[in-house]
Amino acid sequence: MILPLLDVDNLQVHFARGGGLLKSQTNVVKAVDGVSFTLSPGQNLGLLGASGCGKSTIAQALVGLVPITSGSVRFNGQVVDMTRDHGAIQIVFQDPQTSFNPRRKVWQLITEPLTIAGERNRDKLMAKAQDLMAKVGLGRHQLDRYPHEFSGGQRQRLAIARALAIDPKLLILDEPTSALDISVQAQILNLLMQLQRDLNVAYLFISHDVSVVRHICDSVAVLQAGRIVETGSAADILAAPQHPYTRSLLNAVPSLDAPTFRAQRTSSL
Amino acid sequence: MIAMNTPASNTPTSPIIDIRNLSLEFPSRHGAVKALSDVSLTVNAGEIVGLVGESGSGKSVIAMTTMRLLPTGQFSVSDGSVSVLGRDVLGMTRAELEERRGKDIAMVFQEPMNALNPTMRIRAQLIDVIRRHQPLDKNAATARAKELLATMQITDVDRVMDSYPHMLSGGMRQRVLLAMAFSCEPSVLIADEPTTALDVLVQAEILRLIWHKANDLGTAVLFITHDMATVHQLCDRVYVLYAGTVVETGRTADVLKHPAHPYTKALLAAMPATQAAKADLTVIEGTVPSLVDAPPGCRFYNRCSVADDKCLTRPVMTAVIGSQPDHSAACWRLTEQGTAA
Repeated sequence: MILPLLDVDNLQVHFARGGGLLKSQTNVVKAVDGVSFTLSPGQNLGLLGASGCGKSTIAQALVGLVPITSGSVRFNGQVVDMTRDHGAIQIVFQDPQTSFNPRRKVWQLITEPLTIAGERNRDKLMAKAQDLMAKVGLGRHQLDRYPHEFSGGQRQRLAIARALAIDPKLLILDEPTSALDISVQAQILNLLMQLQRDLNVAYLFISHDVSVVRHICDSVAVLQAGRIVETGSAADILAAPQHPYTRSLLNAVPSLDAPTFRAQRTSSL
Repeated sequence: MIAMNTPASNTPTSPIIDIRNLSLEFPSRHGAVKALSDVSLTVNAGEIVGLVGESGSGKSVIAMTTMRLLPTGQFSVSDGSVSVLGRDVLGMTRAELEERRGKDIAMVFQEPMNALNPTMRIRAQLIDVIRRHQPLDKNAATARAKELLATMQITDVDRVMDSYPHMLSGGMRQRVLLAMAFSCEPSVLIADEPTTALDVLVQAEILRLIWHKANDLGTAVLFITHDMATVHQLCDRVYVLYAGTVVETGRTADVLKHPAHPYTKALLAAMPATQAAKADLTVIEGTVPSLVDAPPGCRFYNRCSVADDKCLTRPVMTAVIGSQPDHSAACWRLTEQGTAA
């Protein structure tokens, strides 16, 4: 049996919400309430759910952006230690506009993980930057530009380039195409699939978009209120959901295969 | 004040919104941005019409022009006309506009927070809108406001009435705005991506609400979206917009099942739902042309996989041969000359 790349066991992330004038009462919001899953090398797991289900909190907990309340996260069989593993797990957010320092040039931005790791040789950084730009389909002549000079789709390519800078084994993609137009989304999804074929990187793909998850993911976990309600192969679950919540989620999403509202009204009469 | 329900406007042959050959420009320091070029669009009584296109295609400009919401002096109409219920919108005075907005034509936006006054309770805002167009006293208007909220499937009407906008969720705010929009039973509602900022489950509820409410009241809807699946479920007819031009229009089922224009075809093929899992999606190469010096012919020319020199002259909307009525596309290949070639 292959050792899972990522093994999340009974993950809990709770937030305290102070209540009352003198903070006498404290509500605890269980944003992630006992979530377990594994992800094998080079595979894709989709975390699917509506707003507030905890999917982004899981992503943030995995990269140490929010503290874990309890449970364990193992990466390559070892408990994750962010001082050691920060390079091996990388994250790409929905809105690349807000994840870049607007005053830095592109070559500085996409090689930032290397700089943090201690690399100071400008020639080496520049060579790496050129390599990364080629990987994500951008030109080396754009290295001296600033992030605002790029379109939304190009900025998402830059975010992916930065995430790839120190050869991660796992990329967490938090709604990476939700802010993009359909034709641009297609380019980014194609790029992600291409990179996976070339680099054998695993994706934890967080999305509310059923059609994107169905397209790109091997397996899927459906989240509701901080818990996984259904998990398994993406093809099976999205074709024949068993849990009522999954069914309501799939029914709610507009789909080219669903009956039109007019047809539904006519048939219900 | 009474004259707006002229008999002509109520016959199905006379469109509620009638945009003819509209060309509109925004001045910029790089030259005039030709935001719309020769756009013709109609919305008939009781119809739900989709306006679909990607960012910058001109969807919102059409909506804002029809509502006359673009700031005066910031745009110029170089050609064409826009009429609502048979009356020229572009020539209306401020007083006429205020009279008609809300009563004949209403609009809801993507971000409901921006359309509500943050310093006023929902109660006051709803009553204000109702009393602007209807001769009701405060008590009657309050009752009407509650009734409207209830029809938007709001169960705790009193709590919502007493809330400030920030106390409500995004979905609840959009319900309040829809209640306002429907309050005077307008002939047509323009909905500009009203569900894009909402959660998927809430989005579905709001879409159904709009469809049922419009259907019950006989309100026509111009629904702006970038999502073809929403168009499929909600809209009777659709206009596909690209770089400020209408490239294809027809009944929704015809356009989505038998797309004729290369752009519509490519857009549908770029949707993951239309392709096998893990298959590469169709990519539209290149970028949208600059609308400052837009190409003389087809705006899709530089990205089209089947373009040739004939595409450098301006295509006209042509009926799609062998298809349903009203289905037409702006591609010369669909003309006799094109099909013979």
